Amino acid sequence: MTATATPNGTASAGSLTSLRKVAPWIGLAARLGLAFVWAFAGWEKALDPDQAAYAVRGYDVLPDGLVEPVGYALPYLELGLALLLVVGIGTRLVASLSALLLLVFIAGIAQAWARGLAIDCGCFGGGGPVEPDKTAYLEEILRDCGFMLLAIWLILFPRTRLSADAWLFPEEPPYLRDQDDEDERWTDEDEYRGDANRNPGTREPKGPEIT
Amino acid sequence: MSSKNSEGKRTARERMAQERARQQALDKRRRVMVIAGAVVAVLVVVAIIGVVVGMSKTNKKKGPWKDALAKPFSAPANLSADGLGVPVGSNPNAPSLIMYEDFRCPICHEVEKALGPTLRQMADAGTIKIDYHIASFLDGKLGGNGSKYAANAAGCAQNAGKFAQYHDTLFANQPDELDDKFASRSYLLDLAGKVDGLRSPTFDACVNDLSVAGWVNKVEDAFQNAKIGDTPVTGTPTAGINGKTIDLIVKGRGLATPDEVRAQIQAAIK
Repeated sequence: MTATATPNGTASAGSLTSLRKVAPWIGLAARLGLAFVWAFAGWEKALDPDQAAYAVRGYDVLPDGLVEPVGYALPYLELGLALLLVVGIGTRLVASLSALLLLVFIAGIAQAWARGLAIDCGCFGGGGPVEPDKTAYLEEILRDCGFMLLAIWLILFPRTRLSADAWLFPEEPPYLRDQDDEDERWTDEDEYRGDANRNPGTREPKGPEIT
Repeated sequence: MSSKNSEGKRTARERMAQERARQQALDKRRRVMVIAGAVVAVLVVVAIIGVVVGMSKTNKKKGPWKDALAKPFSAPANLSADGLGVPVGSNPNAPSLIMYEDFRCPICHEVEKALGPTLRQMADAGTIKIDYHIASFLDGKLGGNGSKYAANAAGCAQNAGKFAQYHDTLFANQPDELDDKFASRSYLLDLAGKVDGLRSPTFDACVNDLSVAGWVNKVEDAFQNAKIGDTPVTGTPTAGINGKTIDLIVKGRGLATPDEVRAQIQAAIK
């Protein structure tokens, strides 16, 4: 046997290849992590709708008539986001909505802090007015910012392992694609290899290719 | 569209591939739209379920207060001319200091502690009379019934001619803002026991049956649209006389001193 150069032309772009391999796994972790956060937050609040409404009232932002509908809907909305994240469908949209909701929460806490209200954020159940020395606004905001990072990762790299998206859209998003693939994407590749011998959701060939 | 020249350069294979790419892109966009629609639909449905569950778990439509409001309207005796305020003072013709308070409001308690005696002295001396407007909006803000029930009990005390003493007793025994203790009618009756000669079968029945609920509601409604002069009343405690607001709290410092309040009142009634 003679040693031959690898036929794989992308071997030179080592770091890019490894990102391509790792990103969907990091995405999976971010997706499930964010799902767990929403599920936990939603569950704790859904157990006591009145407490949830009470927590919303504490922010003193919404008119009285809207406090209860919002307080009742929020926990279920969070559970819904958790479900969609676990399934991994419409990941970029769901992550964007998660980020939006987190922004609303951060804004709510920030305005309570700025106005000198003394409330518990009620992020994971509880909530409402507390003693002025029992507030934890900074911690609450930092925690939400941490969750925000998970959402931002998923917005930037929505393709994750073990997701409905990967099953529904076998072709890869641009950031996981080889640059030189671009041109021949719809010609040689489709004709000779197709998607059949690939793992859904990735561009890795299943085995060595014989030409 | 491109020119004939460039069109001619394309091979049939390229055109076919392009057409296929276009078709696939269109297909993909359609799938994306369907999925986005499904995601949004799931969230909307789930949120509606939440509202329905929340509404059914809490029966806002029922309760002693709603029942009491359904009964014929009844107000305490000897109210001010507007049928809202409870007047306190020795001189019925003195200018009236309108005082908006809620029995669950902690700052009202602070104001009563620090400035209440001064105001009461002026009322006793006949310089002013105090017109207490008992709001009950904190039940809506904090949840519960304590503001309404305490206001009703204070109205019952007015029927017995002991509003001022009972008013002071309620504030002196105000529970923590988060503790809806005033919603317990037996607690309100216990506190009434501290005012000599207040408890009677009539008074107890009035407190228990929420007999002046209609009046409490009317005072609260009026409070929501109240103005002192041209300034809308936005909360409790708020005081005004002759259309001029009396600053009970000095911005950036805290409660006004009794002397400051007395001076403001005297300037306003000159």
